[in-house]
Amino acid sequence: MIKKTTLLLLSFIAFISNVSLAQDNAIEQTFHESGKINVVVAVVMVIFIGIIFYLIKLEKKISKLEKNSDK
Amino acid sequence: MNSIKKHWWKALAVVLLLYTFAFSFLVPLSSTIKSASPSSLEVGKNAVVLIGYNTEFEADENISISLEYDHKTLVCGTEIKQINANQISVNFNIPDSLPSKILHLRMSTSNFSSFSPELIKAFGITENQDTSNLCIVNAYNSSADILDIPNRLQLNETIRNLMFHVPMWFTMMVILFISFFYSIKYLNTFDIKYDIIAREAVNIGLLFAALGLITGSIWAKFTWSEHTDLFTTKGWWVNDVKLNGAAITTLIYVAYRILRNSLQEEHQKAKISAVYNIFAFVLMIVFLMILPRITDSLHPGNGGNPAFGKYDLDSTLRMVFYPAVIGWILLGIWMLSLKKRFFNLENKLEND
Repeated sequence: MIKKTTLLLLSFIAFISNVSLAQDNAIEQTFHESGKINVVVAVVMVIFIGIIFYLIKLEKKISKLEKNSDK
Repeated sequence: MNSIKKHWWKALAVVLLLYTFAFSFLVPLSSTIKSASPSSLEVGKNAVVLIGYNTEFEADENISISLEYDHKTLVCGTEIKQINANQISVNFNIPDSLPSKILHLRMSTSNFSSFSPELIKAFGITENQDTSNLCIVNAYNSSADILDIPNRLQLNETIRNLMFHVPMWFTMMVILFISFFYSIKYLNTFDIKYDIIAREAVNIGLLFAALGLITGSIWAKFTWSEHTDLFTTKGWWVNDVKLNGAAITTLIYVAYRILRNSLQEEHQKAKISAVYNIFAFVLMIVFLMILPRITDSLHPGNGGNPAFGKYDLDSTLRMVFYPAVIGWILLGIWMLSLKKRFFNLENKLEND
């Protein structure tokens, strides 16, 4: 489990750094358009992902408890 | 009735967060002048194009533009011509001598009035001490929108992040205070259920710290690191005392989790980590509240000033900032209470 998460995280970081090397114009430009509103969008999305991450972890814990209580 | 008594604060959290989201996405940014080209003028007649944001210049008859310094109107704009909704051209007749090279632009229309400090520079003039009004502008009474969010230099729309990034840290502090409180309570009573709350509070606090770090990093990348010459980093991290303090705080609490996992016996684990937690909380206060105020920081309200002073936060933003903080804190406590109930249930099932 931990291995999988680490692998996912590492590949994500690799992806991000690849993008940030190649981007410069394309992606960064969109963040500067119309008063940098996309920065706000990115921030709200990060928070949303964080809360979803919490929900997924809680759900996993509850499923484990359900399994154990059935025994 | 009973369920209302028990759950009212969750409803409050939802209402406050809905208000926060509605406010932060619906209220427009105030109209302002973004830039002028050319921004450096010479003695004599200068034709300047002003570029605005959220402006409606078209079909507006009552526009007056002037340059001022130290509350004195120095140059009045003439031959004002609207190009489109966001562009306007104006002529400035710069005299030989002015009190300052750096001039502030004031504009008033029937929709808004704006003041852009240090937007225009005048070269080739001799600086004099004479500070009298050189011309008189027709200031129109503008019927501005009742609600608008201030449009600050470099920040622009990202000022809305105030309702998302900043409450993350407030929530983290409150949640970590709860953890600190229950750690003390555990050391007084040696009841393992307090230790569970303290542990889960640190986990939730770390989640909010991570969110605060990531959102702050994104925000800094497109505002601070592009515009400050003070700092050489131009990437996702700015060498600011509060950022470094936040990172260290996060690492301290990550170390708390590692410490817990390295110990085996239940009560020994609880005791040692409770003591560590008390130190960690004190360090967090030092790194986030004290050190940034001693030295200079890019964060507002630091460098000797109390946070959220009179001049830091606009009154419109206050209307939503405080509800937002309370809403996010309640959401954090809600998340914590779910975890607490889960572990209580697990304990109960194990003991049966």
